[in-house]
Amino acid sequence: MRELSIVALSLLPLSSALAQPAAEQPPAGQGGGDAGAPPSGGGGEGGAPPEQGGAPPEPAKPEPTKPEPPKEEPKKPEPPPAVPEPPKETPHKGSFEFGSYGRVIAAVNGEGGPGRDADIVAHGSRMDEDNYMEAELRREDDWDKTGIHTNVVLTLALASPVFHWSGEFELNAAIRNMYLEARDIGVKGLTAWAGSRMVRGDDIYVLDWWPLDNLNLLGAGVSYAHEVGTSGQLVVGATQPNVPFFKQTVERPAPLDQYGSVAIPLLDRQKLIGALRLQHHQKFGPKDKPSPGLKAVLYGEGYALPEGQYEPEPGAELEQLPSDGGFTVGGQVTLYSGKRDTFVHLFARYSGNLAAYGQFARPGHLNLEKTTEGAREVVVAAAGNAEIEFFGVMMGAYFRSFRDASEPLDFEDVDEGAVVLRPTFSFGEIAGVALEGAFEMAQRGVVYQNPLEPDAAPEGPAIGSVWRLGIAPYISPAGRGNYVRPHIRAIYNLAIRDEGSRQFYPEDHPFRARELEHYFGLGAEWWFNSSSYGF
Amino acid sequence: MKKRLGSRSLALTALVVATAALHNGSGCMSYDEGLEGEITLQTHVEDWRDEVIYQVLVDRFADGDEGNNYRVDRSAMGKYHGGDWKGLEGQLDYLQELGVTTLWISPIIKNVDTDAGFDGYHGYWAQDLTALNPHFGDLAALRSLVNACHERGMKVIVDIVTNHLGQLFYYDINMNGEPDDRVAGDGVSSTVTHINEYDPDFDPRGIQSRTSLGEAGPAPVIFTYDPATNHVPPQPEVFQNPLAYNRKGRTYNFEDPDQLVHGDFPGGLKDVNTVLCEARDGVGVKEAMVDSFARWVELTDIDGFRIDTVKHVEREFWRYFTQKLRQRLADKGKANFIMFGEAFDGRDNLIGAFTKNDLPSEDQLAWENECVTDGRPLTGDQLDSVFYFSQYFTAIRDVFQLGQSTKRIEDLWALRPVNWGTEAMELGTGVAPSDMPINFIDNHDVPRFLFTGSREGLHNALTFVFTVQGVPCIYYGTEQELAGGNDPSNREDLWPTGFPTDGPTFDVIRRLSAIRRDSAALRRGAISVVWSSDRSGDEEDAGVFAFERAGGDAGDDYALVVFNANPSKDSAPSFNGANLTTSLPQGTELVDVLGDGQTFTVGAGGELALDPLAPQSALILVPN
Repeated sequence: MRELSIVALSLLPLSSALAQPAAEQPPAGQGGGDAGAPPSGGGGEGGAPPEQGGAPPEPAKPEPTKPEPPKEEPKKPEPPPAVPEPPKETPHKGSFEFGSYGRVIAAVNGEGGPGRDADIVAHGSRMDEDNYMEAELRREDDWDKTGIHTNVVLTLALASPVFHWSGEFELNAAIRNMYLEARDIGVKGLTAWAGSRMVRGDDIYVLDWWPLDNLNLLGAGVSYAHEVGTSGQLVVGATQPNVPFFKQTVERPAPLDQYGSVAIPLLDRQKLIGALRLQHHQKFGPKDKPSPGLKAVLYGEGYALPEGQYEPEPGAELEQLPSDGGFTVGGQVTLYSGKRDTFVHLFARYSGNLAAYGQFARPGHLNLEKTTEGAREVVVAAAGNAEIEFFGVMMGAYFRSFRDASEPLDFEDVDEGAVVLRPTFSFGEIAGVALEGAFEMAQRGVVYQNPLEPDAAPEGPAIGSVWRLGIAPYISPAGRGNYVRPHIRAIYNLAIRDEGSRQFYPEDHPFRARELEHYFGLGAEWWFNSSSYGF
Repeated sequence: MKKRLGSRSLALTALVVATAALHNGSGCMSYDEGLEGEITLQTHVEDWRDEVIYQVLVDRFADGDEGNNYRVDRSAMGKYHGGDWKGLEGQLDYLQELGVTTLWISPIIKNVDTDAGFDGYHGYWAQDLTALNPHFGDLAALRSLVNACHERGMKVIVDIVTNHLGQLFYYDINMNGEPDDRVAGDGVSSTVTHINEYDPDFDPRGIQSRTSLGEAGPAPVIFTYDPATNHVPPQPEVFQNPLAYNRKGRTYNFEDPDQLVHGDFPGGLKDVNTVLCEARDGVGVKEAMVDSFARWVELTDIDGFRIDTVKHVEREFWRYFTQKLRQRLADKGKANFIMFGEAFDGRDNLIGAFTKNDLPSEDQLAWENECVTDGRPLTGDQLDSVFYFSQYFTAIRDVFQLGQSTKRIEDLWALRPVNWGTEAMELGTGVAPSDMPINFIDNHDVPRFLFTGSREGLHNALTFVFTVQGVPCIYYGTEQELAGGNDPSNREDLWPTGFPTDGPTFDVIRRLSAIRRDSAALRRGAISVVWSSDRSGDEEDAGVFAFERAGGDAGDDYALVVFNANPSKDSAPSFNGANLTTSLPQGTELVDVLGDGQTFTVGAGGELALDPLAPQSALILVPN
């Protein structure tokens, strides 16, 4: 199983990731991101080494099956059957695979209530994230006739509530992948896919975030990876978040003088997305051995949204929504040692207009022309991991500045950042402990009256910060390593909120009242044999 | 390798930064108006009579920020439409070209958001006197508007309400803990009565609870809680105390003084007991009102208050509120802060009463002074002025719209020195209220002039309010000839007009503003009627009215304004052979600055012979 996992990952040079279900998407202005989103390794699922940009090993080509000699004498020819036999399938090797990522935790806070995520930023520490699981069913085939390898991937994602906690016999589920991919199409390294897919690059594990490229779309893609280490991929597709900016269904009288009404899609426009990623790996050592290297990525996205019309209120005069669009440019530089998942990522990304909002978010604050023109997001981020004998350290950090399309500052306008440092200590191969220190800071473009100083002048922007301290001892059945899973673990996390951060919560919210937030959890995290989400 | 990495990282960063710069930039989060630090209060007004006030219903004037368009529904006149302070600031050029010098903006504080299908877009349903209405912007936006106005020499007056708060509680008459709406009585042994526990009819004893066995004492007051519509406990906290309200139910007879002052304003707007103070009664309503509204001056440097529904407020409150507010602002450097009230009433003696500084009885004053803790006892001072509603009914409606005789205007004006205060308030505007009524032809509470009137009548009425004694106040949209009827039809969106500046009425207002600006007499001069007529219809001088503006604080400046308000007949200031007589010496040459520059020469004895004026027209004559 592990070998298969490595093969799959090696064919997919980008590190994997899992996306958050649309229902969990943060509101506009929280980034396009996946706050509370799923997991990924620093470069790989399934216990594979993190994505370091090294030239992926060749997949083992299946040997052609030799025909065995006949063991019996030929029988007399029989009369042809009345019903013709179905045509024989093309000879190939195939297998069914199962992969998964998951995290499940039972957690309490200091008062005995459920433990909750205490982040004040869109991408904070993942230590106190909620339950999430993906189950991937995959059919892999190698077609002898063409030499093409195909994957059919279906990924079912599940999130809270869990029945044994809520007692509710219902499922919060989504299909996150449903696509067919073909590799080595005539030319070695040429890949194409079509379907519904997560397309992602490298993540920051400790922040549970893909800062450069993170698309979820219905579409298709093509990529080519040259053996010298240069690759490129092009993705096109569409999404239609089920929010009024994109979609509105209204009732109209039935046609042809019939009774009743018919629901019609009055506003029905989708985001058309194109993304181009260019990447180059440069290894500084023998290609067949772990050695240091560098990866550089240039990335861009383009968005187009056609015009449309909507009904502000039932029966009201229809209003026009102009066409819209957006773009993203960014890049990444990665250095890796080639040993024990040691690497550093540096990311930078700028998004304008429609692309500045979250992928599934409703662009909340538009400009006066009801478009997203003027919105922008700047992201600078870093991630890293190092391991030496029993000691390791993971880190992640970012700064993000988001401005919506409405010119004046408002609550959706945010500057935020986080730094997370997670040293780990292994006790032999089977156990270890992770310590985590984090600092999160955010400011929002609002002017507000500090309730603690009702006679003072209103303040703005609202600024808050949180210190996070955590410890997580774990059992690691698969052995030592920061990107090795599964883990059975205990977590204690302390969040220390300043006065400003408490103001981010509404009146009577427990987080507004508490300066200290304790989180005790017992849970598990695993990943194995999942497809990569890049290609 | 470091070097290579460094160069690539730099290149990448440069690419992103360059794109960001080319797009929209990305600076640090900061407010242009600098929220840090205190505002230095300043006096921006020399003489309020020099001003031209423009009334803005913020929600309907201009939308400058889509980001605050929460719950906007432009298909319904009773819902939020999206106008805001930024939109208003964006049209200051337009207003300045019109000749406006002062903005009166609708209430700024946080309101009940929506109630019974209507929204609080107008601002008169206060919920939190300490917070701004987020539909219109935040403190930065408001401060930016005020600063932008001040930079242009314009002033800002904010509308406030002290009489009532929004519909924040109900009277639990049947004590079932729910706000009921029911019909009581059988029509035989008892009267059939509709009872709405939010808005029950006035009861002088206070609203009584009632069970099947009869009355059961004062009805409990229950504050509703619905954050989605901002039905949440009012602020400041004193307004969460039921004692802070009169709790007598809805006024249905405005002639009853008890109902007038102590009843809830129709619509369930809860009447505040503005008699109460902390020092004397242990319930600091008066102090909270002063503190809350003074704070907005201190935070924004606004220049005045227009005060809503003053006749429904306990009279003693105005002495406390106006005097303590003036003192507090003066101590911080703000003088000439104007406070004028709205008493929607045609009785001149009633509206003028709020401007008189007559002292109450000694006992009454002593009782009121028990609320004073700063060592500065109360005097008789009240408001600096009020809206001239009696003139609205007598002159604008009866004369300029209905064509009735003009003598009534002279008669009304003759009462002003009696009915209105004749002394300026201490630390006030420096002008006697009787010399500074707030003149208007329509507003958000009455149909627009053009709802029934003609364009010519409108122009004539505008000429009237720009030339009579006092301060002209123009309702937004008048310049674009909006013609809505009663509330809310008279609260149209202005932005669909596109803010053109070449319309005929825009041009008239622009010219009148300029004429007024150039004439000290029209701004500050005393007024004396030189022609009025008690005739109407087709009679000889029906519709003619004329007055001189001279003396007072106008120096040697002089203006003579002559109207023909008759809607259909040419009329001249001439009757039975007698012509208009001015105070000017013979031979003075006058020129019509409103029209085509025609000149006239004063004859012997100050007599001025004028040709008949066309229907609904006027002359503004000044020395040539």
